Formats: sequence, structure tokens, C-alpha cells
Amino acid sequence: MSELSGEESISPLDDAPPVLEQLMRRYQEADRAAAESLMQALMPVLIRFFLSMPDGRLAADDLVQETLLRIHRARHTYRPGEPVLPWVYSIGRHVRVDHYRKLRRTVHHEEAVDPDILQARAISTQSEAEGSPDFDTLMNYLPESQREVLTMLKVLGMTVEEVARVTSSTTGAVKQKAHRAYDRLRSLLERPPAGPTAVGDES
Amino acid sequence: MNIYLDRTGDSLLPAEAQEHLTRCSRCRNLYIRMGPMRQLTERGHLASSGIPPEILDDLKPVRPVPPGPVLALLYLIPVVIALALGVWMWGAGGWQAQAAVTRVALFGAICVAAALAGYSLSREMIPGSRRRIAVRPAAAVAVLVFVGVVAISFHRQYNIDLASISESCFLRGLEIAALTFLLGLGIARHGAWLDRAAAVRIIGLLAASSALLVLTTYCPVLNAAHVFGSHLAAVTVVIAASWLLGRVVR
Repeated sequence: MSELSGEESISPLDDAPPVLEQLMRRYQEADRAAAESLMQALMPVLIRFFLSMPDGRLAADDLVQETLLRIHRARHTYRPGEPVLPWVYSIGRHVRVDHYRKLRRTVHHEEAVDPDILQARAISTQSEAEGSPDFDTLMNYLPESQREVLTMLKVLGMTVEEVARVTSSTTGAVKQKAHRAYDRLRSLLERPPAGPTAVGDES
Repeated sequence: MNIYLDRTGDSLLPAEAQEHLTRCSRCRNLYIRMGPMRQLTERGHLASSGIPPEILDDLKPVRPVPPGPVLALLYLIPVVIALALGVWMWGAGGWQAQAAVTRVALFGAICVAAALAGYSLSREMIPGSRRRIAVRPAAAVAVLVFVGVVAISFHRQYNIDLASISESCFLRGLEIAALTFLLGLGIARHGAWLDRAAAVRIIGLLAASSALLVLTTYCPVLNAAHVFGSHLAAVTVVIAASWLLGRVVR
């Protein structure tokens, strides 16, 4: 089997799953070359994963290292024949959540601010300055669970089924969260009405 | 429209969705903005420190965990052991005292609850595994069935000291739950344990189901106040304790 180089692994993962599954199986059998190739292939995937999450951007490299270690410790929980990436993302998600909890424990907020007021202020300021708020900014005003689902669907390009696996939920629950996020984003994007609503406008 | 938004960026929208976008400014605004979202991550650098040396230094062959359904059955072994022990020590007076229909409803509800706990634990121990069952609604139905059947059919009055019997049942329930919890921890130790709090709480639910199963099997007192005040009280204490323990180990 050909090994993945670091450069190759940065390319889109359309053809990667079968390769990753083979590497994962060999990794479970303690094949050193397969372990190296697998880790090289997963590193850019994980960096992209953590960069996509607002609370993971600053420490993406540390989180990747921690995730690789946890992957190693939990490698026996990968079932041959199952997709590798949801398994990897699921581990990465827990690393990110732990990191987030740790941050929350250490960071003390000196001033309590109503999130709704903060949100309205930020959107209003940005709208005035640029005409409309940045989408990345808007995402920060979604509840954590909705933001996570939408990021996986839209930024990382996962399917609903994959997101359900990663977030330990059902596909129905994922769709519900995504649809609630769409509704919320529509509301956030909507500008104050300058005139009568256009005929035929519907949500 | 939300269903089509799920597929943003993957392919062309169907004609009906495109037509909707021409008419609806709210959906059009959202659709246009979600298009380039994948570029968000390309703003950062795709560089990493490399493979942690501990990984390559610690390469040993491992055996993959059994498939999900097998794992779920394995996690029910502590419940079976606890039930066998309970029947051996205290008998099966409750089973014998109940009418057939009541028996089917009560034990059906408890077994469903235990099976759901085993299923949840197996999913928790295998990262990225598929979840086909919405566990919470199913568990809520099982609890409602149990409570409803007890409230409707357990009306017998006894000329005995129910308080002391209730205390005895309560303590036995805690003993059985503790045994099941420890056995559950032992069997689940090879899992992923990514979310310790969730794992501990699910094992707590398994222990609570086990306690209720044993109490319902051995206790011949068919009185709703007794069942609610001792059997379900023990279950509540076990669930609360595992929830608190989950907070501690998180």
C-alpha cells in the first residue's frame, strides 16, 4: 500500500476514507509505517477541524497533539469497516470540549454582560460600518450546539449522518439543530425593515 | 427550504428551491452567505508540531472492541449477575405475587430501561458510532409505564410494619445498585471513556435499572406507596449519586 505523504494528505479527503481505514487497521496491528502515515494524514484534517471552531483556533496545534495521543490510547475502539473520520472527529470533539471547559474554569469574567445586548450591539455596529454583519461573527451568536453542527455541516463539509456520529446524536436531532440555526441566522441577517415587506417574501 | 440549505455548496439546488430563493430575500441572503463558509478554515496555517513521540514509542497490537450490539449485551452482564444474586438471596416473591399482565408490563419496562442503558453505554464507549435510537424518549416511556402500572394496580393493604420493610427494600436496592455499578465499571474499563461524566451517569442508570429489577422480582408487597417510597426512592438516589459522581470525574 502506498503511504500518504504530508503534502498529499492536505488535499481533499474524497478518496481518503478507504486508505484511512486500511491504515487504521494496520495501526491497530502495531505497524509503525502505517501509524506514521495515518498520523500525517490526520494532522491537517484535525487542524482544519479545530480552526473551524472559534474556541479551538488559538490552541489548534496543542489540541491536535492531544487528539493524536487520545487516538492512540483509544485505537482499540475503532471498529474495522466503520468510517475513520467520524471516529477521529468524535475524539477531537471531546478534546475541544475539555479544552473549552478548562478555559471556562480558568478565565474569570470581570463584567457580566447580557449576551443579547452584546449581540445586538455587535451586529448593529457592524451593520452600520459594512452594510451587513460578517457571517463568522453571526455564527458566534448561535448557541454552542447549533454552531457546532452548522460548522461541521458547512465548514467541514460533513454529511448529516457523519455529524450525528461525531456529536453522539441521531440524524433527526442534527437536522433539528441545523434548521433552528438557519432560522436564527435568518433573523440575525434580517435588517430592520426600511419599507413595506416585498410581496412574495416568505421564509 | 431548510432541507435544501443542508446541502449548500454540494450541488445545484432543485428548481423549486431556486425559485423560492428568487422570491424570498431572507433565504437568499442566508444561502449566499453560507456558500463560502468552507473557506473559513483556510485562513489559518496548516502546520503542526508533528507526531507526538509517545505514540511511536508505545506501538503495541490491540484487539478491536466487539461490535456495538455485542458490547451492549456485555454491559448487561452485571444486571444479570445482580438479578441472579438477588433471587438466590431473597427469592422471587414479587414475581409470584404479581398478575401476568402486571408482570409483563413492569418487567418489560425495566428490561427496556436496562437495554437502553446498555445500548447507550456501548455507543458511548465507541467514538463516532451510529445512534439509531432516541434513548431519552424511549426511557421516559418505560418510566411512565412502570409508574403508571404501579399506581393503577398496586393497591393491596397489609397489616405489617411497611416502614421497616420499605427501609429494608431501600437499602437492598442501594446494595444491588452498588454491585452493578462496580461490575459495570469493570466491564466498561476497556472502552474509550472520552466523556467520563456521561459514561459514569450511564453506568448509574444501568445500576438503577438493576436495582429496580431485583426489588420488583423479590418484593411481594404490592402497595404503590411502598414501591414509590422505597424502590423508586432507591432508584432516584442512585441516579442522583451517579450524576454527582459524573460532575466530580469530569
